Amino acid sequence: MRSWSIHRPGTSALHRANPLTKLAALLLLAALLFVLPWPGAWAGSLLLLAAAFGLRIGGVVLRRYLVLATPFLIAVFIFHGLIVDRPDRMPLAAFLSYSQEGLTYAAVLGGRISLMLAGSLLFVATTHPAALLRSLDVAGMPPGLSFLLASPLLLIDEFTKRAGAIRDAQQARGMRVDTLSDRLRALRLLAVPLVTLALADAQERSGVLNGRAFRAFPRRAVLSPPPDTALERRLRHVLVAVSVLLVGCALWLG
Amino acid sequence: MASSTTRLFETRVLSLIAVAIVINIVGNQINDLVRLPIFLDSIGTVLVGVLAGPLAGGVTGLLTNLILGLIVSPVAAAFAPVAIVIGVVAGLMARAGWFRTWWQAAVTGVVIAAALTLVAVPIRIYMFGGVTGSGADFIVGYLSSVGQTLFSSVALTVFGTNVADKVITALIVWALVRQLPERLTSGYGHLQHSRA
Repeated sequence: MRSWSIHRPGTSALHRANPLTKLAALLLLAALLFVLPWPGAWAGSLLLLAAAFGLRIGGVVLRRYLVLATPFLIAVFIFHGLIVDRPDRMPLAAFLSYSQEGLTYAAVLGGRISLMLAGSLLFVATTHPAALLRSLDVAGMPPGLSFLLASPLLLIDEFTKRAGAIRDAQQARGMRVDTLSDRLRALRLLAVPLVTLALADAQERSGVLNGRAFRAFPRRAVLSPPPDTALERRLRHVLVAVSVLLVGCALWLG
Repeated sequence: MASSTTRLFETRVLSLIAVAIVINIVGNQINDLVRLPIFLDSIGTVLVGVLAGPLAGGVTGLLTNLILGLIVSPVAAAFAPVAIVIGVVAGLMARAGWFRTWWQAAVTGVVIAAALTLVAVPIRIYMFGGVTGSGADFIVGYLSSVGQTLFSSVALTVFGTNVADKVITALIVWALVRQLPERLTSGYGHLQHSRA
């Protein structure tokens, strides 16, 4: 069965940092994309991946990075370097030709995506979704929105198992997937029970939530808030301010 | 914000959105078996659009992609506006009575594909240079190599790869809402627009 989360528990400074601080750092990373030249973006990606190894989460981060980044990077370099027609096209070999301008553009796009991907994976690998939600609750997120973000994260594994069980049951009953019409029929046989069960689940959950009056107060009380310090709060303000400044400068200077 | 979520969505709709997000995320588990060249990642979004209206559908799409961005790949978060459009258009089409018969549902699927193309193409071109590392990139590459512009290559590819997926998704949702027991759907007033 597929594992969705790449979070790995740990005690490093990044693991211990408040999730909102890490989100602010991600915002700064996104703002840097506006001003960093492409070699800087690639160097930043490598630095973040190296940092993941320093935090002992390098294996899981690098694997997910390669799975997600490789197809995109191959596609963007082939497409812009070899396929898109540009004025500086030069012969490469046989019928192939390449464009230096296209390859540079691919390096720019690849560097941006690579940097954001590396940063996001580092964030996800060091931040448990529950800790992020608790920190958002502390920041004043309403219970309805908190439920919408938290509940799916907690239900994914259960529904993945459920989908697998339905698939196994229908296969045991002789469901075939040989021809196109078989597959379309199979799609209905698999999707209908899953969604029907999900709707029954939703009804039961809403009854339980109403019974607990979970929206009686505009904010949820958090019993174990993620650690936060005055220094981190100030750091978040600085990170957000610098991000806004960077984007503003980039737009102002064109 | 607290008052806005309280005002906009009843608890029943909140629970529906939560499970619909999960249906979207595990939808491709089903596709692993049937191996159809479709995504199956918006059954929940379209279902919420039909049962609870365009706003709830849009929220379902938005949160699906934000959560996928959080746990799977940030690339998914970049396409959140596309997911919003799917939910909103499905809800609007349902409200206009375009989920009553199978052929209306099929037409709705085509309309959803056309609407999402308008939003997906600029994101795909300006953020990703026209390619995303999926199989559809071969079509973009082929169309570009035979003389289409980048914009038209991407637009044709996005519409072409989405139209079958959204028609099948809309037909599955149509079939679902027809056979769901009354006790599961009685609280969703928006469904009256899709009753034959």
